[in-house]
Amino acid sequence: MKIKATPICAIVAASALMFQSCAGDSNNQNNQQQQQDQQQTQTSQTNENNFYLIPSPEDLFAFTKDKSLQFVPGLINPVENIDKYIDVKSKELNFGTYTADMAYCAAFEKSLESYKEFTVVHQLSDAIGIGNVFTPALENRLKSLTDNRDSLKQMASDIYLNIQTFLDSKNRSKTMTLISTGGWLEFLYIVVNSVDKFEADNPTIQRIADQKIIFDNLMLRLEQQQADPSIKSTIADLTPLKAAFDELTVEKNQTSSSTSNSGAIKVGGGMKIKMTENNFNKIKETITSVRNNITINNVK
Amino acid sequence: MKNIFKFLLVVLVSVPLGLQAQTTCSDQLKMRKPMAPYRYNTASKSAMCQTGRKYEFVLPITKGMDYRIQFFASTVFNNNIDVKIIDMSTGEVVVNVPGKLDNDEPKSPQQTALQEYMDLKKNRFVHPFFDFTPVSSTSLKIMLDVKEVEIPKEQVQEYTYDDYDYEQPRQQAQQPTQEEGFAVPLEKLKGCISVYIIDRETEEDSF
Repeated sequence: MKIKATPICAIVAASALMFQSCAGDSNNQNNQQQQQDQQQTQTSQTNENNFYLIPSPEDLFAFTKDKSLQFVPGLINPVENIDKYIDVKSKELNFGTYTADMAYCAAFEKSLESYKEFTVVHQLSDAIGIGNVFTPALENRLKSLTDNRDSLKQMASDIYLNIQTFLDSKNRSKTMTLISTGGWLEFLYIVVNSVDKFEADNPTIQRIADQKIIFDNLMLRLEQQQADPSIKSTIADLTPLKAAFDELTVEKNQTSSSTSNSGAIKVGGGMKIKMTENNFNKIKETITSVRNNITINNVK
Repeated sequence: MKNIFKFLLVVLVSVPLGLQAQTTCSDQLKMRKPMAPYRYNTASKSAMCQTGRKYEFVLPITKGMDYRIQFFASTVFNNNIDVKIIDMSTGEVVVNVPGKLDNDEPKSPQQTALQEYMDLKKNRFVHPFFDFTPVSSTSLKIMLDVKEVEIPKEQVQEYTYDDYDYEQPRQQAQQPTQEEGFAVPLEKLKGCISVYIIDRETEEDSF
């Protein structure tokens, strides 16, 4: 029996491509975005072996378990703003802000609000080509959730991991960076604006000061990808916030690490970030301005 | 009839190919489920890495949480990955271990980064882990030195079918032409390395 190799090879290739495209995005806009991101990933050679890890909003809001903050619904990015996000950059950044809002609601055991935010996140996900992450099974799981903090947090965490995995599979690291940026900005905005007055010994104040560490990591990650115009303009958007964080003083201590009875290594004793009332007020003013510019899409 | 058979054969071959193209390193993070009270930390990262290269992961850690870090690597690396972790608040190297021991079994969780050790209390093999408790928020710089790998030729075939290896390692693994029995250096092998992070709220502990 003679088998003609050429048609079979063609069918194999076509079938493989078909399955790939079925799992991917269906519209042209998403494909263009994907290609743009892939090109960006290829051209960004600076420190390509360095990974600056950014915690998700779920992890950032974990500290609120101690009830040191009150839930303030007015701090959430209004759903109506979604119509303002026309360009890809604003869609991706604000996907991050809504993801953080969802995590905020979950952290305060607000299942109804979490579901509302989930709906917005889902809506925006289609616009940035990651709608595939939100499966009907995921939606059903969310509908059946109760006001249980752990299950809500787990849900938010699972969604975030799915987004990470999906974007990774599409080489869309730029999108992930903008989502992380939007998420972190929203977290900082909510926490800073949940504190009524400055008290140096308030643990939340120290937590805000410690955000300098995450912000520095975030800036390094953005700089790594600054060949992309959206990333470059985001760096420019964050410049006032960088100036505010740069004013914080870092107190150095002569401490070396030690190991606990359980074998855990004690770290971080070598420095402490200090924040004055002036620093706090400046950060509050700046993050509010930067975040509001992003959420009303008043940025370049 | 023959044509239908051919078509079905083609579809059966192409389905796994198409699906495999969608697999990423991040999928490996999804496979792991933390044991309570630990929770998955979303800063975990799995990346495609290459032999002969060095990688850095900068992880911010927050006071009030305990962190456990584990490393997982594709078998193509043969555990030949040195790991250093630096506390960025002091610049001190707090972990400096090889991926595996050359001639011995590890006896404790912190002796290697990748080679399982026998936990005599639990009577089972345990994957190495590193626990951190920040007294102030800081960053950890995790440095991975992925060594060149030499694999005896008779083992090459085994590595080509590693679940974690993708197209490139498979193609390159077919290149060696040295005589049978000699160690074959496989340059620029690629595979996934995961920095898997879990956390929990800090427990009071005596230092």
